[in-house]
Amino acid sequence: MDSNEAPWLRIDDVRYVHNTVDGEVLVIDTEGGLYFSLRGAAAAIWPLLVAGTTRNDLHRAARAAFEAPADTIDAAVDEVIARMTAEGVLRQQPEDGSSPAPALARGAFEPPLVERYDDMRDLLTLDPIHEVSDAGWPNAQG
Amino acid sequence: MTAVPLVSVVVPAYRPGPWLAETLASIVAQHWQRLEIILIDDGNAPALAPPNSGAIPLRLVRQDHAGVSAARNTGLAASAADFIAFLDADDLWLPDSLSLLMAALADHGDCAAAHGRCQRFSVVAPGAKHEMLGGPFWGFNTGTLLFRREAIARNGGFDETIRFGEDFEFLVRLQEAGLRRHLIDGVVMLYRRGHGSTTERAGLSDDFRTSMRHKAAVLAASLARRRATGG
Repeated sequence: MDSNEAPWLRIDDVRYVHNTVDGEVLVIDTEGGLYFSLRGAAAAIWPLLVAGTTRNDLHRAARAAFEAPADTIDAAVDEVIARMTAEGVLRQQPEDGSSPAPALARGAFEPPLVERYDDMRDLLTLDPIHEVSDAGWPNAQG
Repeated sequence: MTAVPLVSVVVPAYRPGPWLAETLASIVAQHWQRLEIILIDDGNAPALAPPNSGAIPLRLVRQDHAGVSAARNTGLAASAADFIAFLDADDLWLPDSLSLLMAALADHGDCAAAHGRCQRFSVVAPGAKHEMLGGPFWGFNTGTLLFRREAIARNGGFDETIRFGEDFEFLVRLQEAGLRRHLIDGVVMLYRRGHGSTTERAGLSDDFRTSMRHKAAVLAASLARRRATGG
């Protein structure tokens, strides 16, 4: 593991909900109604970002998993970290050690692809679930 | 003189319990009286008996149990009206629900659907007093929407492979096709809670996250469709 001094990166799993479908990661911003699609290396390293990791550990794990030059892999990882951090999905948080880091699946390297969509915002910011609570959905205002 | 348009109200019913009569009564009580009820018996045992709907025509269509999406599609196929609404067999409309929704579609010819608000309520026994829960909200409940028939026909109906969140999936495809909904402020549907409906779960957090994960899968399918068609 990396030094305790290194920033610990983890997705904001309070605001964002994710699901992986056929190798594509869909991330929904439950407050803003945006959603993201992650494919290629961005989807491949996602399990580590869910579990929490450091940049150096992520580099190490990605290099072990992908068949590509180290600098290509490092650049791809940094690109995903930068993009997801800028979007607010990935945050630097205190390490809590609650989730053991999963091993990444070995495979060919595919460049990371992160896409952001706002075309379903009005639907995603409607009542997010029928059965929220008997007190009603708190964001029910029109 | 322009003819008053007919609205078909499709009511899918599977083990509706004691609530169906109240649901049908809320349809019969609509101020908009040019309507028909298409009640879908989704394979109940024993089969539903034809209910009394007074002056409002009611057709009872029985099918083998196939789920709410299939039942709604059966109702859609049985209807010849230009306007279609769906109301689940345990929910209620207010007397002016259809009038409000029809007025919204009349004023917004560019919209495929009108979408009103929903209000949760709880009732412990048939005939007991309704207790309202929280405030009104715009949700996905199909009973809050009125559709133009051609919009649903273009949209392909409800996905019968989905048993949870089929209403969200339907609306995503509507939006994907560029078909707009017009939101109206009025409450049009009372959504029954606290009687063990199919979507009830224990635990707010788990409910919310499970629902959102389903929605993420729906969005993945939407993106795949759009990529396949270059949209």
